[in-house]
Amino acid sequence: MKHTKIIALLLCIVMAAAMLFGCAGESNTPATTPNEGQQGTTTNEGQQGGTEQPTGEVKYKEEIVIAMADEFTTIDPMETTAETNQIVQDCTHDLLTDTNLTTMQNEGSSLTIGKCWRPIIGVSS
Amino acid sequence: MLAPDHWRFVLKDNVTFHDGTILNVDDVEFTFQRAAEKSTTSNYMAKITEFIKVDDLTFEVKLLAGDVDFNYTMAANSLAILSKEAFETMPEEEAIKIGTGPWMFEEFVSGDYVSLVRFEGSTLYPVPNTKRLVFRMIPEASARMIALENGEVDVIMTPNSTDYARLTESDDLQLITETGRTQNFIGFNLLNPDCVVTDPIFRQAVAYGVDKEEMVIAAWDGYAQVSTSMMCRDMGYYADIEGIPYDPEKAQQLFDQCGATGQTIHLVTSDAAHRVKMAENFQAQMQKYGITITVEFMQNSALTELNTSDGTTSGVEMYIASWTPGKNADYMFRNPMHSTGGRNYSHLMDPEIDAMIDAAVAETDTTKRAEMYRELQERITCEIIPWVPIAQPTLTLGAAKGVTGVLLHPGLVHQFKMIQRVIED
Amino acid sequence: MLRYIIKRILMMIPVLLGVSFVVYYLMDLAPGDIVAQMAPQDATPEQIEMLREELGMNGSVFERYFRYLGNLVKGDLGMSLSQKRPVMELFLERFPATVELAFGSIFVALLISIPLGIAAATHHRTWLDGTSMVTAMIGVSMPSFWLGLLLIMLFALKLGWLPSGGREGFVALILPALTLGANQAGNLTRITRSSMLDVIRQDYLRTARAKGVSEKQVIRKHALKNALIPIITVFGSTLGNAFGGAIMIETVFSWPGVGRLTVRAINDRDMTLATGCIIMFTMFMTLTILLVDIAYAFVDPRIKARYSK
Repeated sequence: MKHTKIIALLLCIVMAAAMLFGCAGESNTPATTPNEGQQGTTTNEGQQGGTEQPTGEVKYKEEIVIAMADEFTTIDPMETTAETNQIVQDCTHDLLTDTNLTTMQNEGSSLTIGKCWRPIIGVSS
Repeated sequence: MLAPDHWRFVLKDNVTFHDGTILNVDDVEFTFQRAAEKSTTSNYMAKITEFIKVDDLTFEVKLLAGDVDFNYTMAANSLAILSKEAFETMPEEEAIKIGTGPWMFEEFVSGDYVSLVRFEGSTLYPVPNTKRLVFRMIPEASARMIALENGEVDVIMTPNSTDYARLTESDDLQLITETGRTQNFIGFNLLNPDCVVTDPIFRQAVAYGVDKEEMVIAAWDGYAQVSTSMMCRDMGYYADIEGIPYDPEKAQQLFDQCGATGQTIHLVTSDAAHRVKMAENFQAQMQKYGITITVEFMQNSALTELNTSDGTTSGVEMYIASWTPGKNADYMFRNPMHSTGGRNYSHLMDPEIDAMIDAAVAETDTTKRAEMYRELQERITCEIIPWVPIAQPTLTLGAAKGVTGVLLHPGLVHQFKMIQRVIED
Repeated sequence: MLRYIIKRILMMIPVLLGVSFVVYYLMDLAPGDIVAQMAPQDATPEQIEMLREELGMNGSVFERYFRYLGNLVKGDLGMSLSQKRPVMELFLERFPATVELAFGSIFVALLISIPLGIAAATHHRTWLDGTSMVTAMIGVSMPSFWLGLLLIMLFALKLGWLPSGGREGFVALILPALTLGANQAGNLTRITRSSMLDVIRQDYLRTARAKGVSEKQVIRKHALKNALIPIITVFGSTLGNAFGGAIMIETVFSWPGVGRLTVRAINDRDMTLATGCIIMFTMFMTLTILLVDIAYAFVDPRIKARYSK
C-alpha cells in the first residue's frame, strides 16, 4: 500500500512536469488578425499550371497524396452531391460548361468538353 | 427581349475517353437520359423538352421555359459527361469510371483511400506530370497535420486554424488560401407568430448591432471576409453595396423602439465548430443591448429538418446557417429567398421579391440584369432582412512546398487536375 | 454439448430481431431527415418526394420497418441510403480491418496484462504490485484518443519509425493496436491479479508446495488454469466490443473499420446502414460470448458436464 502511494505520487509529479513543459512552448495561435493581404487574395492565379513544360532539369514527384476529412464513397457523379466525392470525380470526368475561376463567368476554357455555346434568341417553333 | 428557350452547344473535337473512344453528341444525349432518371439530376433535365442532334459535335436543346442562364445548369458537377459505349459494353460499376479527365480511376479501399493514375492518352488536357494521385481519408485534423509534417501526405484539406501559423512560417510547408463563397449568416424565422423577430425594426436593429469584425475573429481567427450584402462576393452580378454598417447606438435605439430590450430569444444552429463560436459571440454581443439569446446546438441534419418544416409551428425564432451558391446569381437568390425555394429557411413569402427574382433570371440585357440584382440585394439586405449576412470564410489548404496546380473552388469542389510537386531542380 | 451450442445459436434470433427494431425505431425518432440531406440544395419539394420514394423512406416507421424485416429474415440487410450499395457489402469491406485491430489489440493487452497480473498477485503488497496497479489504472483512465495522438507525435513525427495512420502494411497496425491494447490491458491486469490472488491462497496449492512442486509450476500449471474463468469472461467481452469498432482509435489513426462506418451512418441518418452494422455487431458479440462459454467447458470440466446434461 505504501509503495502504491509513493509510485502514484511520483507519477503525478511526472505528469505535472510534462504538462508544464508542454504548455511552456510558443503558442501557434495568431494573437492578432492575419495580414489583410492574406484574406480575399486569389492565390490561385498562376497556380493553374502544369500546362507549360519546365525548362531545365525539373523533377516531379511521381505520387501525390491528398488527405481529406470526409469519406469518398462513389465515382458516379449522378449518385452524390457530397463535395468530397465531387472533388475526386472532377479529376476523372469533365463537364459541358464550367465557371472560369478567374473571370467568374461561365465560358469555354481548356477544362470543358464544350467548345462554345449560345442561346438561339426568340420563341422556338 | 424574350429569354431564350433554345440553346446550341458545340463540342470540342477529338476528346478521348479513358477507354480510347472519342466523345460525341451521342454521349451527351446518353448522359442526359441517364440524368433524367436520377433524383440528384432529374430537376436539371426537367428543363429540357427536346434534344436535337445536329451533327457529331453539335446539338441543340429546347427548354420548357426561357432560361438565360441555362449554360450554368450544364456546369453542375452531377452532369459530368459519360461514355455511352462504356455503358453498352461494360457493367455499370465499371462504365461509370470512364471519363475524359486527365486521371483514371485505379482503386478504392472503403474508408481508407481512392487512387487515380494519369491518363496517358489525354487529349483535352496535357498529360499530368504526376503519375499517381491518392486521396486518403484522415478524419482527424491533427492527424492530417502530422501526416503533412511527416511527409506522408503532400496536401491536407481543411487544416485547423491553429495550424495556419505553422503552415505559413515553415520552410517546408505552405498555406494556400482563396476567398470562399459560403455566406454565413444569422437568420430569422419570419413566420413565427409569437416572436419579435417578425418585426422588421428588430431585424434592422440586429443588423446594426452585430460587430461582424469581432465575430470573424471569434469564429475564424480572422480568416474570413466580412459581408455587406447577402449575395456572395465574386459572383456574377454582385454589387458592392454598403449594406447596414455596425452602429451600436442606432441598434440600441431600435431595440428599445420595438420593445425587444429585456426579451429572451431562442437561436438554433448546428454543432460545427465555427457555428458554435458564432452563436456564442452573438450571444455575448446581444447581451450588451439587454437581449438574452439562448442557444441550442444540434446535428446539421436535425437543423435542416427543423428549418425546412412549417415556419408557423416549428418554434424556430433565429438560426445560424450558411449558403453556398455553386453557380449563378439566380441560384444565389432562388433557393433561399423565393417562396418556392427549397432552402428558404426564413420562410420569406414576398410576392414582390418572387417577381424580382423571376424577372432577373429572364432578363437578357446584362446591364439591366445587373441593376435588377443590385436592387434585389438592397431590398433584401437593407429592408426586409431575412438574414444578417456575416462573413465568407477564407478557404484554406495546407501543402508541402513545391506543390502547385491546385485550384481552391469557391463552391468547395476544389480542383486537383493539374496538381504537381517539384522535388528537385 | 452440441445441443447446447445449437440452442444458444437459436436464441440469437429473437435478440437480433429485438435489436433491429429498437435501433430502427430510435433512428427514426432522432431529429434529422436523410432525404432532405441527400437532396441537392436546389431540389424542389416534388424532387424530394421522388427521392423519398426511391430510398423507400415513404410510409410510417412501422411500414418501413416491416419492409426492412421482410428482407432481413432472408439475410438481406438492405441498401445503404447514403451510399446506394448493399449494407452487407459495405460492412464486409470494413470488417477485416476491424478484426485485424481487434486481435492486434487483444494480443497487446494479453501480452501486458497476464504477466503483469501474475507478477502483481505473486508479489502482493510489494513495489511490483503497486507499480502494476498504477500502470493498469493509467491504462484504463487515459483517454485513448489522447494516448493515440501522443504515440503518433513520438513514433511518427519525432522518430519517424511508424506511419501516423492508414492501413498500409503490418507496421500501420502497431500504433492503433498498442493504443487500444493499453486501454484494454488495464482492466485485464486488474482482473488477472484479483483472480490469481483468490486462487493462490487455496489449500491445494499449499499442498502442492509442501509436496515440493516448484513455484513456477505451482503458478503456471495449477493457479493460472483455475484463475482463467474470470479472465476469459473479461477477455470475451473485450473482444466482442472490439468487433464493434473502436471509433476513437479508428478516427485518430484513420483506420478504415466498421466503427467509423457505423458512426457516419448514424450521423447521416442512414437507417439501413446503421441498423445493419449494429445487427452485425450484436451477432458477433453474441457469438463471442458463446465461444467464451464453450471455452469455460475446456477450462473447467464441471461446466462441461453441466452443458452435456
